[in-house]
Parts: sequence; structure tokens; C-alpha cells
Amino acid sequence: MKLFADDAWRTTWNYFKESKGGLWGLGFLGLVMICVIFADVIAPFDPSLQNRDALLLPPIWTEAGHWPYILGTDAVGRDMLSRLIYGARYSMFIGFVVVSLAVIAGTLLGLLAGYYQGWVDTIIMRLMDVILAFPSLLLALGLVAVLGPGLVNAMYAIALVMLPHFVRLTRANVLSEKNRDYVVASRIVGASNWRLMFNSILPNCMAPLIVQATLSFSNAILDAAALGFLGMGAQPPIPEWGAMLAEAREFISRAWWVVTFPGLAILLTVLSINLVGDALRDALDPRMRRS
Amino acid sequence: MFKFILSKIALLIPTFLGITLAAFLFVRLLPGDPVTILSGERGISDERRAEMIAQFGLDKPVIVQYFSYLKNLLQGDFGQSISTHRPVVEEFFERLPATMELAFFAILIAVLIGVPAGIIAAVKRGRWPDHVLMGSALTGYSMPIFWWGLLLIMLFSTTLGWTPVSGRLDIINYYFEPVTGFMTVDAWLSGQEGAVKSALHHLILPSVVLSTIPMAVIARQTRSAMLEVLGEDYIRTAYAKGLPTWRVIGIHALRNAMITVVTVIGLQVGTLIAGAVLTETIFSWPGVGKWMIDAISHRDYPAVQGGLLFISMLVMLVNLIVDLMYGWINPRVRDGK
Amino acid sequence: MSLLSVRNLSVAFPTQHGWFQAVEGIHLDVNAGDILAIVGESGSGKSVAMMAVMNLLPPTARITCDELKIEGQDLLAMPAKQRRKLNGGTIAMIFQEPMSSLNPCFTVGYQIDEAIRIHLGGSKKERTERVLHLLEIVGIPDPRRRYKAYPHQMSGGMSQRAMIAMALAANPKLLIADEPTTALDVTVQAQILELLLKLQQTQGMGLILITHDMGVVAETAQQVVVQYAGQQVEKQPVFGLFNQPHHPYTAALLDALPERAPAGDFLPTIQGIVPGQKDRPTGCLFSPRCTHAQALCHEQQPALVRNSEQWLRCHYPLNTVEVLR
Repeated sequence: MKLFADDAWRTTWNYFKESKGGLWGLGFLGLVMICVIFADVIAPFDPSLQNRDALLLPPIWTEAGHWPYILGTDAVGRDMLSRLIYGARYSMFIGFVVVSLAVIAGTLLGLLAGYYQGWVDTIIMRLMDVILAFPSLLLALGLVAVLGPGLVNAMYAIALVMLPHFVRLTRANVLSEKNRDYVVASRIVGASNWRLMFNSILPNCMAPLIVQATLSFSNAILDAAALGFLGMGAQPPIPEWGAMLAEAREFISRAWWVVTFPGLAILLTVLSINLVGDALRDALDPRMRRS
Repeated sequence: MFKFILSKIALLIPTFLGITLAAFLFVRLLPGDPVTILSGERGISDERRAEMIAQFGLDKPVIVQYFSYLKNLLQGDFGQSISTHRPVVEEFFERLPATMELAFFAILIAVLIGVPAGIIAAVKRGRWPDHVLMGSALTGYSMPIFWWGLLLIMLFSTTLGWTPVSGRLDIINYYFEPVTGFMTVDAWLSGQEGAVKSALHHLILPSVVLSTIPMAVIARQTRSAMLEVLGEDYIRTAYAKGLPTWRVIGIHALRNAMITVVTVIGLQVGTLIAGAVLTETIFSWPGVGKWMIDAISHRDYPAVQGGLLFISMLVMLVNLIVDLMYGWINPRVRDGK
Repeated sequence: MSLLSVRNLSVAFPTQHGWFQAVEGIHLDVNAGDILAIVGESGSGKSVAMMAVMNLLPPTARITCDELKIEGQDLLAMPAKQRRKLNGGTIAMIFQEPMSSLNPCFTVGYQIDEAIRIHLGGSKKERTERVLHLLEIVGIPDPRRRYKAYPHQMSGGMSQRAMIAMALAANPKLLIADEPTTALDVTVQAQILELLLKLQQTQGMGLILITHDMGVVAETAQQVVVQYAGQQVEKQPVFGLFNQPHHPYTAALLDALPERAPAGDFLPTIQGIVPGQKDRPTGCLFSPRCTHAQALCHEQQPALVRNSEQWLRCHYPLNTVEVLR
């Protein structure tokens, strides 16, 4: 199944290039990806290695800081920089898994609802309404309370919370594509329902789905970090950025660096993804262009 | 108009039933003994256990259990908190004013800054004010607010000592009985000098933190709504009529853009409540958000269940009000129905 | 002294492929109490030229002009704020789409009142009286009820009447009507046009009527400007234009009129389409479609030449013994 012609990719890229923000975002994400892939090589220390002689060491550019702890150490003497680098793995992994789950399930449900309509549609959409009636983070918290705290459960919870957006988007697109000439034509030549849904309709709703997926990616990272911070997501000593912040809270008046850097990492990563998302939206769909 | 309101409410009934069903299943899906979950009591005698099962109706079929649960809800019985043994309703409404006060100030800040920012960005489209404002808005939108709160505490409370770290009032110097539950109002009613100032002093950081994401969303949406409106024919008419620019933008364009923006502001209530969970945790703000977190960590499931139900009903109510306001603010919808 | 005089007005818009010349070299004179018609196909820059006069174009537009005067006041030397004040006061404009030209969020009365407040002032009561009076003279029944109506509660014809009332609010000297009847039902079109002409006479206004309806032009205008692809190709008093059109484009337009075509025959059409930004010919812009075109026409653009009341942009004018050049 080929979702885009080569030509479409090139056009998209040409538009994407116009956005400076999008390029900056892409650049920073590249950096994050390098950390993700080569964490073992780049990170100066093992993220859980404790050094009792270097507790709460400030970053290297302050007076008390010293080599090789570039960004200082935390309360048990672990190297901040190494933990941040390994933390990138968790955030990107969370984003990837959550969005994949939500996209796959959401697209399937949306296709079903939009294609068959009737009671299938009603049940699916009412369910989605129920999910949407809860504020997302709160529902995720509730689900984690049921499933028990932990990174994996947090990911399931966040994926479920995001589901309705994909279902609604796919369904709306299916409804508008369904009666287009090319779909009617495929039906006339005897294409089966599934074939129609996957080969004709789905590729034509790809653009908004990609944009939504990008924006959900950043939301997933934010929500996972929030759950980690509240003690409901990744559990210490995992160097997940949100969990690192939770551990750092009590040192707020003594060690600014343990508080500042994990949050900055979250902010920059999320901001980059959102920049890419905005640029992608502008590039993929002229109708959705902001300016 | 009355019919319009009724039809809107009727549309919410299936969602309402779905929410109650979700809340009902929530407790039943928990791993472990439902008696323990509902009562919090462990290692109890068989006698006590049988008593409990009868009390919670656990011996009846699930469908019957659901309907009796629904009946209880409609009578205002949302269960009992395990940790305090008080009705969940009481616990919730005791804390709701604190959250509402925080949310009110947050949305006030978000609107007062977000809307003008969006207008300026739209009018100066493509030039530096647009880039600066929209860059800030995207940064705000990407902000992990729990970190943002810590950062502000670090700067304004710990380092500069300008604002208190937590709580709602300087309780060493002021004391008064709650009347409305809104600290600013109660402080004003108490007539104690400086009490209102102290309440606002405690409010400022949490509400700024909570306003961050709604402000960013409002600014972005205001900009795009304004851009759309500014291209309309009636804006050209307004200029052709000789109206000064501020009047064309501030009255003719804004009035139309507001139709979209009011909806966006209304939809921020969900975001606001989710944000309140984080903000209240950071600032030890005694609202429903902090209460929910505490309930989850104490495994006080009836409280979690009731809290989730209340909050989603609150969100539904606000969305309904926004829907109705949309009809009121948009003349075309107003008498279409 | 003419009410409005425009010399060599040009407007260009930036596009992805460079500047697009929407209007090129327009010369106009309108006297008080006169009607000037501007005719041409869609996209010939009629509206854009008039919006440039009203300063209604987006700031990205590049407007150049040798002279732009209204009642002897030089608009080009005027600060934008002062110029804005002339809008609605001295020059008023009504548009093609009356329904979308009224703000959906305000009542009709409020929108007319606004124009009065800006230009004439007066107490609330006086202004309301004037609004009601205006609604009455544009033929809106039950003005008191319509005062409180929202635009979506009115038909297209009613909306255009309200737009006219708004335009007349401050007794303008010049009214620009940009295809005021195009978007309306055929039966309403005649009524609106009649109303406009009646008001033009009673108020003694100058009127610029942008239209593509040659029949309307013949019945109403004193002077006619013909535009093609942004250029002014001909200007003549109405009698001369209809009897002795000099430009082949004008002649072709007239030949396409049903009442002029020989009975029982097919209506003559103009072959081809108006050139866009990319396919502009090197010579005369009309040359690819012109049945009279010769070698020179394809090579060199003709200049706009003036001969007393006539302006013409053609190498080989029709219906003429003297060579205009």
C-alpha cells in the first residue's frame, strides 16, 4: 500500500521548507534522536550510577561545578546529563508507542464508524463522547489508578484518552470521501469493503491524520511526563524526565539545576514537535493553512 | 429558545449515562475484592463481610447494581470516602470553590492577555509582533506546567521572596470563617485589613501557571479567527464607511471573531481542570485536583469514582453553557432555532 | 473642475511568481451629477481600480498614480487617516455581494447609524430619525422594524437597499457602485438600478457604475470606460461609443449584444480568454483575440492616447477617418 506518490512527498517538503520554525524543530528532534540511538555512546555515565562523592554537584560553569559532570549531579550523585540523554529514549518511546496505538485503533474504529454508519457508528461515537467528557489527564489518572502506577499502564491510559480524536477525524474524512467519484467507481468495479476502506479511502485521509498524530505525539510526551511527575507514570529510578522532576521537587530551594534541566528537556522536545506539526499542517493541506 | 435549550440537554443524556456506566465499571474493574475497595476495610469477619455485601448490593446481578447506583446518584448519593468516612459529595463541594477560584483567575488572565495578543498578531500578520507573540504562544502551549510552576516558585518565592510558596492565605495574621469558599470574597467579607491582598498574593502564581496553556490556545485561536474575519466583505464595508481602524478591528472584526473564541474559551475548562490537578499539587492548593490525587494515592476509590463523575459532569455543564452562549452571541444561530 | 480625477492609476499585487499587474494606466474624470460606467469582463481590474481610489486594498498592493484628486483635494498627498475620513463622507461605495457586505453581528440600523455618527454626528435621536428616513428613501418598508433586523433576516435586494442607505448616510458627492445588481435576482436587479439612478438624480451625486451589462450602460451613463486585462482600452461619451466604437474589443462587446445581433443568427462571441499573469502577450494585450490584429499589434503595445473627450489604446482604430495618433 503506497500512501503517497514520491511527487506528493516532494511538494510537501517544498512547503515545509518555507517554515523556519519547522526546520528548527526538525533540527532539534534530530539531536534528540541522536541521543535516543547513541545514548550508550554519548552519555558519559550510566544513568543509574551513583557517586557518593559528588552529591548535588552544580553544573560545570558554576564555581562549585567540576568536570566531568557537565550539568551537575542529583541528590544521589547521578550525572544529570547522562540521565537526560537516556531520558530522551523514554520520552520518544512513549510518544511513539502511544501514538501508534491511538492511530491504529482510532483509524480502524473511525473507518468502521464512517463506512458502516448505523448502529456501529452510534455505539463507537457514543463511546468516544464518553471518553471526551472526561478531562484527558484526569481520565488517564483514573485509568492508572485502576491499572496500577507504572510506565506501561500510563501509556495505555494516554493512548485511550487520545483515541477519540483519531476516530472522529477518520470518520469525518471517510464520510466526506465515501461518496466521491473515485470510491463509487471502485465499488462499481466490484472492490470489496475492506479493499475500499484501506486502498481508496484511507490514503486520502492521510494528511490530517499525520498532522493529528504529530500533535498527539507531543501531547503524549507531556501527559506521560505529568503522570511521571505525579508518581503515577514511570517510577524512580527510571530516568524519565517527568519522574526526574518529581524526585527533584524537594531540592527546589537548594539545587536549581536538578529542577531546571529535565523540564527544559521536556519543553524543548515538545516545542520542537509542535513546530514540526504546525509546519506539516501548513504544508500538507492548503485548507488548513494558518496564514 | 426554550426548545433549543431542551434539545441541547436531551443530546447530553446518552453521554451522561455512558459516564455513569464508566464510573460504575471503574470500581468493578479494579483488581481485588470489591468489598475492600468500597469499604476500605481489610481482614474482616465473614459476618461483617456479608453485611457489607448486602449494604453495597453486591449480591444482586450487575445490571440491578448499576440501576441502584444510578438511583443513588440521582438522589445525590455518590458514595462515601474511605479515608474520612464522609459522603463524597460533601468532600467534593467543600473543595470545589478553591478550584473554581483558581480556575476563574486563570481564565481571566488567559483571556485578558490571550485575546489582545491574538488580535495584535493577526493585525501585524507576518511581521515581528506576530512572530514574537505566536512563538511565545507555541512555547506556552508546549509547556509542562508542573515544571513551569516549580520554576516560578524557584524564582519568585525562593529566590526573590515576592510570593508565598503554598496555601491560599496568610493564616498567621488572618482568620475568618468561610462563607462562600472563595477566599478573595471571604476575605473581603471579613473586613480584615490586608486579607484580600493576602488572598490575591497567594493566588497570583498558581493562577498564572494554570493560565499558561489556555492563554496560548486562546491567543492562537483568536489570531486565526481574526485573520479569517479580516478577509470578509463586511470589513471592507466598514473601511469604505470611513470608520477608524480601531473601530473596524476592535468592534466589527472582533465581534465576529468572538463567536469562535468564546467557544474556544469554553472548551478550555477541561484543560483547566486537568491543569488544576498539577497546579494544586505543586502549590498545595486545597482544591478538588489535589483531593483527587490524594484519593488516588490513598486508594480511596469511592472518592476517585465520585470525583471523576462530578468533574466530567461539570465539564459537560460548562460545554452546554458554552453551546447556549454560542447561540446567544451569534445572531444567525439565535433565531435559526 | 471635475469631482474626481484619476491620472495613470496602476495597481500591482505580489504573487509567488512576481508582481501581478491588476490595473494599468487608468484615466478617469467624473463630474458632479454625471454617471460614468466602467465596463469589462471579470478580472479586468474594474473593482480593483475603484478600491484603490477608496484606499481599500491590502497594504501589500503596490499602487502608483500620477494624480488622484477629489473636489480638488490631492488624495496622494493626504495622510491615510484623513483619507479614510473622506470614505463614506465624500465618496461612498456599494459592493457586489450585499449579503456578505453587511456585518452579520450588528443590526442594519446600527450599521447605518455608525456612518452617520462618524461623519455627521448629532444626538442619538436625530441619528435614529435620519436612519429611518434613509431606510424610507431606499424603499425599505416598515423602517422601524427593519432598523432592528439583522442582515441574515433580509433578502439580497433588501440588503442592497440597506447598503445604499448606508452609503447615502453622509450625503456623499460621489457614489461608486461595484456591480450592485450582479448578485441579485433578475426582477430585483431592475428595481435596484432604478433606485440608484433616482437617488443619483435627487442627490445630485456623481456615480461610477461598474458593470458588465452593456444594456445598462446605454441607458444610464454619460461617459463609458472600457477595460481589458487591467488596461483602459477606450473611453468615450456613451453616444459615440455605441455608434462608433474605435477599439476592436469595444466593437466585439457591442456585437455580442443580443439586441444588436442580426435576427435569426448565432450571437457573435469573442474567441479565446483574457490573458492571465503568465501568458501576457508581448504586444497589444487584446491582439491574440482581435480579428483586426496586424503584425505591429503582436509586437508593440499601443499607448493610451487622448483626443479631447476620447481615450484610446489601439494601433488601428475602427470607425475613424482621422488617425488618432
